[in-house]
Amino acid sequence: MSAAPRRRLDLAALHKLGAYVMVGSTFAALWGGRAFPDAAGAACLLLGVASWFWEPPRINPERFARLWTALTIGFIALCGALLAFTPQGVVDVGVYLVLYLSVAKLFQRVRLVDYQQLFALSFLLLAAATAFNEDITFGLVFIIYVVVGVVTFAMHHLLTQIEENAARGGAHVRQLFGRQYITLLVGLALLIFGASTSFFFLFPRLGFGFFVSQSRDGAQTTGFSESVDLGSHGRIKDDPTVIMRIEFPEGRPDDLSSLHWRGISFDTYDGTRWTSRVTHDRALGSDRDDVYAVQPKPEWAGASLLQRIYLEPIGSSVLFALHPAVSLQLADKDQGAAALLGRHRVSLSSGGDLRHTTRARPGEPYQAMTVGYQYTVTSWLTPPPPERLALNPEDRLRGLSSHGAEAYLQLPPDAEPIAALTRDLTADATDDLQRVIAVQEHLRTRYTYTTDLPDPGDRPPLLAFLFDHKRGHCEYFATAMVIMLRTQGIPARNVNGFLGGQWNDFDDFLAVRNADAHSWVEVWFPDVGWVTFDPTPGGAAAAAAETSFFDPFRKAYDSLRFKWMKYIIEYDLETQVDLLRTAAAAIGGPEEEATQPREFAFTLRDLLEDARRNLLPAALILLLASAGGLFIRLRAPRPLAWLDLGAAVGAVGASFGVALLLWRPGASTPVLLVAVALPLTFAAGAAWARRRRLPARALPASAIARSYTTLRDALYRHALDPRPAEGPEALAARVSASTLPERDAIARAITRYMVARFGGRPLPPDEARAWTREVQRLAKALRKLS
Amino acid sequence: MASASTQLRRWLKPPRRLKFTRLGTYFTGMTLLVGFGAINTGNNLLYLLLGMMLALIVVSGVLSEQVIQRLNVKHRLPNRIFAGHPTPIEILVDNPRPRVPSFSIEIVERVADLPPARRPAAYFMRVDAGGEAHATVRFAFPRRGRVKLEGFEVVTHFPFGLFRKSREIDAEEELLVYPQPLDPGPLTGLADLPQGEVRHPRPGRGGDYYGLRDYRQGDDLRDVHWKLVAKRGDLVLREREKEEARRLTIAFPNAWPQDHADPAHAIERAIATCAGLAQRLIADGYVVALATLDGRVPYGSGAAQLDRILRELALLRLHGDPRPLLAPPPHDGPLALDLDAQRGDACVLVTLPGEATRWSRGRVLAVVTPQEAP
Repeated sequence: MSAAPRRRLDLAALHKLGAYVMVGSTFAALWGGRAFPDAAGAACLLLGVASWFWEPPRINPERFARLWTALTIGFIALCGALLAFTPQGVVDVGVYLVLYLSVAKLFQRVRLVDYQQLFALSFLLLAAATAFNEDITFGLVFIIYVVVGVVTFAMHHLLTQIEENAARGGAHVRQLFGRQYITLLVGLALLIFGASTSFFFLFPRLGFGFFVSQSRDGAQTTGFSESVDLGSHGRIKDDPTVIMRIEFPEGRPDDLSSLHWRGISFDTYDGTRWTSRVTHDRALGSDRDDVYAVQPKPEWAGASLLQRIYLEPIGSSVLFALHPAVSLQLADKDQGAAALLGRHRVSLSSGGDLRHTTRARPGEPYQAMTVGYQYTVTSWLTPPPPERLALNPEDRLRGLSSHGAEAYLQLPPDAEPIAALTRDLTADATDDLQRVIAVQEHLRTRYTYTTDLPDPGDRPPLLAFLFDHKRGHCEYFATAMVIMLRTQGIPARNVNGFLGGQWNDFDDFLAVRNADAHSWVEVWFPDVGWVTFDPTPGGAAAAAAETSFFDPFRKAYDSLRFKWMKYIIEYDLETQVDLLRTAAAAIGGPEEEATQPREFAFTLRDLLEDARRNLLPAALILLLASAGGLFIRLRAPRPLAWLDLGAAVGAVGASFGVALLLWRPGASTPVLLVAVALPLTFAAGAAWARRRRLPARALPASAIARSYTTLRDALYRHALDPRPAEGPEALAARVSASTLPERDAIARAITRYMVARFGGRPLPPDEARAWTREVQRLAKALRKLS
Repeated sequence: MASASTQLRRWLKPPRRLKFTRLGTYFTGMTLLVGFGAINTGNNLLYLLLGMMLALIVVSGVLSEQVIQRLNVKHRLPNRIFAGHPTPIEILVDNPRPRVPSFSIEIVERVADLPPARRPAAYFMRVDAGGEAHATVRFAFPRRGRVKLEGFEVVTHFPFGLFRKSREIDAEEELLVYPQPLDPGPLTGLADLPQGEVRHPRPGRGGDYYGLRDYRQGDDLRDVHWKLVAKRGDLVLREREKEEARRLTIAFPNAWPQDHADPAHAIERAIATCAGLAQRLIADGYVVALATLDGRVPYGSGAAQLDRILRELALLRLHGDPRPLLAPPPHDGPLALDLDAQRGDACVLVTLPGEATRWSRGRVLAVVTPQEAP
């Protein structure tokens, strides 16, 4: 007697624990995504812990019911006020509300249905977290949620069944809850997790994007900025946050540490700050596969290097790549939040910066997206032949516009000491290449790299660096070299980006971190363009490459994170099609067959994209198809007739007409096919559906009795003598014995009434309709007799 | 041809039935919403949630199938089943699969013409692999007469309660449900039963004690008086009075009552009173016969006779019944109770108030009318 209740308690306790884990994990996912302020998170956490103990019999929930009602009304009003008077968005306020409801429900756990509501709320929290947290922590939460959720859900079902069947007599309710059952449930959870991932990879990624109004906000990493201030660079050197991962599909280069991942260039230095004055952008054209030609490859360039880059959200439109880039290809443009932004633009600035911007609709300015990018760049790494760099001073500005020449020769105030220094250094040089190398070597050998910058005081930072401290970080070195070259009339510019990176052996990719942020110099050579020089001594790379005890763990974590970003967050139609193609090839199908899914998927995607642009005609076609189908369906149970065919043909014709006349810029063959096929499918579906047997719902007894009374009253009024309390059987007998013209039909109708009313054989819907019509016809015929 | 059409119907019948529970409806609705959101935004994390929900649905379908397939079900019923009286039905489930247990199943007895919600059902939380489980469910059959049992329905909501999946097992069987015996009330008329009714007590196989005699070849060993045998050493037999000793006929005019507010209910109570009267008289040792408008059950006593009378009452149809399917075949001539006038049957007439005079004939010792329901 005592064992059973104790087991029951265990089940209930585990069920409660599971519910808390479900709510807690989703709450953590939201907090991790900064969906609410820390103070609100801490308050919810404390309340959640307190609610664990707030339950009967310790607490009488009825005493607090009114309080919770008042609190809920108050909170809803607060949410309304937040929406009306603060810039908080609907999603943010919605999260607050669901969070409040979850906490409130944790305090009001009385019946099993309360737990059901708690599960629903936790699911809403998880769904909301998808908009705030794209990190791998979401993946962790998801795994916990699936495993614990499945077990808890199954336990909930068990408790519900026990509760429902206890009333029926508990004698046959055998206890099954134990270790074996828990093992089974955990196995079930793992099975569901496996099935979830399978569905995830197999579900077609046909970006639709009909009703999306804005993209998700990605978490932004610090360390890269489009304006550079001397002195603010050192603090990010130790930041190991990975902001870019690069794969080399055609083989990795030997020397990874010297790779300069070019980002943005600056032309104007005012003494403390670099900015860009030359801001002219040129939109790049692309082919059907979204490949953008950046610049032609010169004849002296060697083999190309292919880089597949996964860029974290950094709040900038800059696309990093090795310089110089030949071409750039974006990943599936409809993937992720980019689904809504078919109108995107890849541009090359006059400063050599590659940018990707988007806009929601024509006429609006292009903006940077705040989500991660995935793109592929082809560059060449071969340095230009030295003979092409040896040029005379009078030839220096060839190829530059007057505006560009002015910008790239701009000098800050008090540049005279720098000019003098540079003149001394380059006194022996015979051409510009020698001058550039002399300045670069001077800086590399006579100056020290440090992130611990001494205070320059009132002196301009560059002068303090060159003449006083002779120590600084890459920004100082690059700035110094640019200004020194400019004092000699050589066009140069400062470039920001990243240097090298850490090779991750777990997954064969290069992880570029904030710590790898770097500045270097580009010098103009008319025959080859802008050439990279790096005056920073090796200490910079050494500082960035410093290893710590945690590095292996960081690498493993980063590898995991990379997989998460690559295979979950960035998973798209292209990858999916590749997966299918690989699978088809593995099965042994010919290559042509393996390419079919790709063609089909992209045709479908184009069709949907086309529909998105033609929202009104698409909706009209759908409406016409539905109307045709509905008409045919509603005519049931009558047999199919010419009218049905007419409705189908009409819907097809109207739909075809809409596609032909309203589709812009003109309906393609697939669109016309869909416009015909959709109404036909709906019509066929409706015709099939109405042939199916309807559920056996009997006509209500009152309706049958009403019809019978109508017939009886018609008989009494127009044909037979009324007899009080005459039963239907007697009436039927009298009718049969009469000389009425429809006596047999009337007797049959009355007999069917008796069978339905008293004989336990209710009228099925079809027969009921026919019987009612027959009774109405007979009553009408009787009325005509008089 | 009927069997051919039945076969066809069986063949066309879907092997499983699937219904959404309320929770399942909400869950499926949410799945559709998440799916729409995922397709619309392209947010892969929503696709992840969608994958989870689809997996839950699919795995739910697969597991529920595992739970209900290949189970054998049978039942045990008591010998006598009375309408309106909770009858214990023992349901036995046998799981022949060597490795797969079944969880959370419900066995529903498919009683024909009874809405599914009112059918008797037993819940089993677990049936072990290769094991058997049984449960007893008490069910009151609503009406007397033949009841067709079509078989069983194995139902499960396992594992999450999202769907109700069921499988039908055909096992047709016909039951006879006796009318529920109602107390006939005081039978004061029987005190006037003349002594002549106990005319010539003779040995027989009746109820009361008659005398002792030596055992003879062919006698029933059940009548041996074992105590005396132990005392005397010889086989001694206990003789009983013959059945004709106290004979009574229960007369019941099975005609649709007239001028009653609820004739169906009233006549059914009269039939139930008839059953109660037969039970009481046989228990009191009377030799009882039943006379109706359609014929009679000859005199007899003991349990077998009670069964005969109850069976007759269970299948009794009513003359003038407006429910044509339940009415007896047309009758030629005037309706009359089948009383043995020549032998001068003493009878107890069971009828509705106000109808006694219509049916009284012969020696009516008492008129019993159904007592009002409390």
